[in-house]
Amino acid sequence: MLEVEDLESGYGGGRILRGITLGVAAGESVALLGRNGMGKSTLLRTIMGLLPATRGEVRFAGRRLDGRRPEAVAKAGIAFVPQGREIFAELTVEENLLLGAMGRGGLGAAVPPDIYTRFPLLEERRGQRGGTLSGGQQQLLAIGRALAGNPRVLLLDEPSEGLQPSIVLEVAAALRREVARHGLTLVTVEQNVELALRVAGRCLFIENGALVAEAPSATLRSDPALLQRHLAI
Amino acid sequence: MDQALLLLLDATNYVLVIVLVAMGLVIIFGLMRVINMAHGELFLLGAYTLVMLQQAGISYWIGLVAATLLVGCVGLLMEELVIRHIYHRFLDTILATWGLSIAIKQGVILLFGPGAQSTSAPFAHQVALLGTAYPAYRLFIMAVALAVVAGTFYLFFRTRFGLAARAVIASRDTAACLGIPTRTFDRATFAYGAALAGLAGAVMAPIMSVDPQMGLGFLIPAFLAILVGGAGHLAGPVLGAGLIGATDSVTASLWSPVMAQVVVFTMAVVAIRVFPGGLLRGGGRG
Amino acid sequence: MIRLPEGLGDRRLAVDLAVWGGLAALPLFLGSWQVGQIAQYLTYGIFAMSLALIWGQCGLLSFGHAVFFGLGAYAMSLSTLGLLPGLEGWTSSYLGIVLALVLPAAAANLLGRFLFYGRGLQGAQLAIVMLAVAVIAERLMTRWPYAGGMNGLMSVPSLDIGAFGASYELYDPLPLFYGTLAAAILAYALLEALVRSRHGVVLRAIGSDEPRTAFLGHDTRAMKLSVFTLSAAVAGFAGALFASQFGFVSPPLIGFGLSTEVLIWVALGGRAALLTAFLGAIVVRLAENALADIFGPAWLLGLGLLFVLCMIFLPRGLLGEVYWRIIGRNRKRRGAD
Repeated sequence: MLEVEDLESGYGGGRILRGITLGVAAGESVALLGRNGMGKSTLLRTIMGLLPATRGEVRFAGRRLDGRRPEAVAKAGIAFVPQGREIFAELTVEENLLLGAMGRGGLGAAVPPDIYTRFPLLEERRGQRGGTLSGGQQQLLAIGRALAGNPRVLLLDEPSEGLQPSIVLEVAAALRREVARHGLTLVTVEQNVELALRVAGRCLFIENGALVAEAPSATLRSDPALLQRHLAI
Repeated sequence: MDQALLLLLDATNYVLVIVLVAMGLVIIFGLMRVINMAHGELFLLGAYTLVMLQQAGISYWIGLVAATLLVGCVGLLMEELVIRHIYHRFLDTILATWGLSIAIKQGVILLFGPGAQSTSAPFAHQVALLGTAYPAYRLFIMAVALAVVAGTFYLFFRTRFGLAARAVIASRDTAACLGIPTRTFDRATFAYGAALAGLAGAVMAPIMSVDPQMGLGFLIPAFLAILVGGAGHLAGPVLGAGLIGATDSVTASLWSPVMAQVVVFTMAVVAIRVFPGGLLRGGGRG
Repeated sequence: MIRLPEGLGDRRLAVDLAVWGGLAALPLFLGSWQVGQIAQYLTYGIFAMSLALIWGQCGLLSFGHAVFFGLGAYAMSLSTLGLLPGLEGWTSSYLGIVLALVLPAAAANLLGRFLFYGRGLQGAQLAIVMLAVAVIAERLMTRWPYAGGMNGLMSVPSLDIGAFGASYELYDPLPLFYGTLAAAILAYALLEALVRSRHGVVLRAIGSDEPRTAFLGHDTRAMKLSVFTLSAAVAGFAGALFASQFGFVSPPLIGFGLSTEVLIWVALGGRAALLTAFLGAIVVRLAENALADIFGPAWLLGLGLLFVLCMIFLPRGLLGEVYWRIIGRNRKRRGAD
């Protein structure tokens, strides 16, 4: 579904991604793991077109996406929840969701009604300003907003960042449900291995802007030593 | 008593004209972080369009609409040919639009000469208002300004277009990642802001001498209004224009127009020091 | 010998020497009328350097820099014409120069104390407020009979650089030219020393990202205030030289038109280096001399469009593009984002 081939990019002339290649199948959930500054977020930003790729390709359902603007990437069916969530603090929960729907569906689009059944919390807070929500609620709103456009792929950057462990579990549960019931393809960048193993079926390890290892989550769960070895690279 | 009422009406008229000019500026700044120094020349183009069409025997009302649309198209062209290339260089956008302002002004001089043109209002009668006679056309100008302010607020706060525009203002990247076409909003915003300048110029043309230097006279108070009121919220410049316009009108009638400029300017500079983000800071984002 | 990295110092020195030496040799090839003309452009060049200092180095844009130039010119004229109340008898050029340095500096300092606190238009308030200052100053001068009103002040005496009772007027083209050239070199040396010093590094840091510079512990506001004050003093100095050369001051010198022109000189010359800004003033004025009559109003139209193109494609300016290539440093300086 989503393929990245030999992708290179970076900020202001410096290379952060150094020829990364990976593929994600439809309905699959993968996690990108690795230490800080290794290029995980850069990869998501490059896929979204927020950073220009200096080499390589991004393909989605057979179409080239590299070199396209972020809005074109989003229209094609890839949604992105950036680090720090970036919800519109001044706008209400409903307006935030509406923007997610409008982004793909145009000015006349409506929020899919089942968003509120999938995220009951958002229903309760419908008229509240985004900025008044707690961190975990904002994360759920950011995910809900991304899903309001009915994307086929969701890219998540550090969804657990700054959240209490109990809320991380809630977010993880919501994500698993989306993948299992709604056929969402999920790519999660995470520091929190716990969350990554819960959400993803497969983990990819990134080091210095390149893919260095991968393993099924089940294997990593049963073999903590292997996990430690990969993480310590 | 009559004198005071007239002063009040004139001040209101001036305030509303500044609001009309400032509105276009602040929309372009708010959405695109571009300070459009050519705004005064877009005003000028609006005025000239009306004058030329009226001289060609075309009705005032068609001229008004044509001036608005034509200047909107000029704004679209400016965005596409110049601004688009330098969004990321803040100071250079100021300078480039300012270079455009020189070019437009000189183009007008080349085409129509440096002299003043004049045109007439579609209705010249006076109406009785609270016991005093006031030119109907000035009331019409006030109505246009109020309608533009109300329309702009409606557009930005009550429509989906406005919702998306506010999302782009809050965070371009996030809006783009949701699939909101930021480029389309850039173009539309610039065209809308420019069209407002054109409308202001056309609507003012019948009551002032239309010459190539006229733009600057409105650009400066409009900018001061934004600096005093703050650019974080659409209501900021409205408030700023109220203060600046009222001070200017009162000082000008009690003292002299030049001293009015000095007083207004001093007030603006002090206001900048006391309220660095403007009297009305936009919610959270100064 | 202390060497700058990459051997930059040698090439810069070579370029400096070539430019100033070339200028000094100009009278060998030109008639005395042209020499006088260029002497006048040298004062514009000094003015351009003062703008390049705040704009090119520090990212402070001013749409009304002529206010300081004009203030200097008026200060010089009023004092040498013996019009200063209480100082009628003391018509020394030196007093004029001191006033032309102090008054603009004080005005800039006062304005800066208010403006550098504003955040309303993302750091553009200086540019816009200076535009308002220029328009108002021009109108005020037009209506102020003491300063000659619309007609300005005529028969401003030439610069007298005599001392101890002896008098020596810079009036003939050749002494005038070399005197002004010496003043330009002095201004350049002073400002360039600042630019190349550690303070210069801080200035450029402010120009590229002020908040980040402040986070490092630099008092950016104080720095901006001092450099803005210095720039105004230099502009006033240029104005004083201009007034005593031209023998005449009038309101346009303090207004919007000249402020516009100096921005064009600096932008086309190249704001990132004092030398290119200085040369920009001279080259654009020379070109204007040759072309303005032929093209009429289209000249300014073309200049405006050239300016826009320069902003988009050559932010370092036309001469700057050449200069930085010769210097061998391919650094792209951009306006503060």
